[in-house]
Amino acid sequence: MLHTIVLTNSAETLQLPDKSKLTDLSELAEGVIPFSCLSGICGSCVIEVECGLENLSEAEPVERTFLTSLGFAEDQYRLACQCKLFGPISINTEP
Amino acid sequence: MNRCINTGLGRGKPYLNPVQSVLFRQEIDALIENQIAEWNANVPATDQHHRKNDFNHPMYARGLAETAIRIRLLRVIESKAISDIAKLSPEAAKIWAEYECDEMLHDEMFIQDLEKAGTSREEFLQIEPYMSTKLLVGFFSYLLDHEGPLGVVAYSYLVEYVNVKLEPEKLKGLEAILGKDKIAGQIAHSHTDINHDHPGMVWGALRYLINKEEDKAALKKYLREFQDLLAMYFVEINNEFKLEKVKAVA
Ligand code: FES
Ligand SMILES: [Fe+2]
Repeated sequence: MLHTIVLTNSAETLQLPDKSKLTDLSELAEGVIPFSCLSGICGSCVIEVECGLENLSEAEPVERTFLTSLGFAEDQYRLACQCKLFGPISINTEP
Repeated sequence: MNRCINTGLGRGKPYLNPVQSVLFRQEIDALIENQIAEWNANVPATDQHHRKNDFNHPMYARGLAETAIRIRLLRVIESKAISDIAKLSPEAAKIWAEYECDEMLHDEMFIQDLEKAGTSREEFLQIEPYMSTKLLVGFFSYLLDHEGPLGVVAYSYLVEYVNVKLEPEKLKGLEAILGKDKIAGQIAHSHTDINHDHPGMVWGALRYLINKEEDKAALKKYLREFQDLLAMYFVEINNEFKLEKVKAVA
């Protein structure tokens, strides 16, 4: 099953299989979400989820704490490398 | 000029794109399903958990011991695999390291149940691995030296897939025979496999190690070879406990 990801800042639409990691988007469109550690500790993959937050795996407390320390305290901000995809979403990859 | 190679610095895209990866995984899962059917039809002594009336306790305990031994032996060679994997794909190495972190002390869960089955830790330490287990570990060494880490990771995919699929039913049977408390370690182990999605995790690593069509073919061949080695183990344990007349497994 494929889910649609709308990139609101570049007006692109991409698709990934169910349960994909969101950072896999970079395999479809190079550099679309910058990342490095893939462990939720470097902060290079912050995104803003504009629609479909419930279609991503839930954030662990440690992700929330880290995002807050980066100045992204609200729920709609996520670390893409920590998100598994379960449905359609719209995201801003340059919050 | 840069003579430094084998560092995975390129971080290129995986050979299989996300959709191709899902499709190939389905193909592999279907192949494993066939192997399971074949296994059930041909391998002796795999139905102990259904034998409430003639359950073989010594054989059950020996099986637990061998599982703990196998984990102990494989964690050594699987740790060596990380360095080879990292040369090919740091992404795969990261996933593999997380997986090994999960698995590293799982021998304890089986030893815990083994003690409840009446084998002390001291007695456990005196048990030598079966030849089939030694061959499995040796095969991993051969793979790392001469074919690469794909086969080592493929083994874990096979084991995790089979565990998630078959272990819950097996544990239900064992629970009916032995009681829940006696198999608490195995229940905990099975929960980890399922809740941490170990098959998905290992597939995540495998995906980065498949870099050409030949690797896809090699993966299928590895699954067959592991099946043969695991069948050898069942023949060995069955011969020791003389549960059934055992033909050699082809
Ligand atoms: S890649 Fe480092 S936090 Fe996501
Ligand atoms: Fe596991």
